[in-house]
Amino acid sequence: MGEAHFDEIIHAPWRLRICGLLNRVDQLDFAVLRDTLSLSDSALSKQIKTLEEVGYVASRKAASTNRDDARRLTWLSLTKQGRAAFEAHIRALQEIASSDAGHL
Amino acid sequence: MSCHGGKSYDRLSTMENNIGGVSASEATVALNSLSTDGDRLVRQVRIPWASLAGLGACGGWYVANSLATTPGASYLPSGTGWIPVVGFFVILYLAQRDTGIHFRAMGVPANIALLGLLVLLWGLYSVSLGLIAFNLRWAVVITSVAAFVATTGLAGLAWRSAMRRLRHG
Repeated sequence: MGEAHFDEIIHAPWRLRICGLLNRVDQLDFAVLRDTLSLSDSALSKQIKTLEEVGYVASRKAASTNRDDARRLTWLSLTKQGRAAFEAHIRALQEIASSDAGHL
Repeated sequence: MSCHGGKSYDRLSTMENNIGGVSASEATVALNSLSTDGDRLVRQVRIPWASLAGLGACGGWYVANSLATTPGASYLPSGTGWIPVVGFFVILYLAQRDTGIHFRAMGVPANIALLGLLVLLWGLYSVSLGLIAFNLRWAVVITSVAAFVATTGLAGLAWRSAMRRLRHG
């Protein structure tokens, strides 16, 4: 089991939830992520850009047969570094949460 | 435990459980929200019925291919037997694009279902060859339909297994 590490970049509420969803899958379509979180395109793009800048998330464009307006699917995934950072952050949160439970 | 940005914490105590401005109760809420998101994601993804039926059609087609062979000493495998196999993987790929999810893993029940499907299809193909050898070519319709139903059902089982795994992370 790895070390716990509190990551302030991941901890921002939307980014934590984005990483939490991406950690469950290999890749997730931008639209599915947007609809699951009930976020606007621009709000999600902003959070994804932040995560991409630190190397936690990777995106890949693909053609879509369901879309006739030249839009493309955007597949999002956690990078190896992002997955490790997210899991370390979750361990940190679990330590914080359990520290309270231990003192009740 | 360490903290992004250079802060280090050797241990937590009652007075020190506010790392990064996060209290224990906030940490609990954050962890719970991740679990809720898993449920929301599963509700968001629609069941790809068309793809499941397409996989079933590939299973039925694979067994029906036995009609293109001549069982016995001069047996030669069907020259088009690879088409439903390729079709199976193409439909799997399209299903992922359709649902917007590439799974990391589908879970043990899904793997068992897929293994069972392989065994069942080989079995139905062999039975079909036997029927053809007994000059009961019409009966291959029955084994082909059975292959369609079994493939659709087992693919659905594998899908539900993948959804359960997705929900629980």
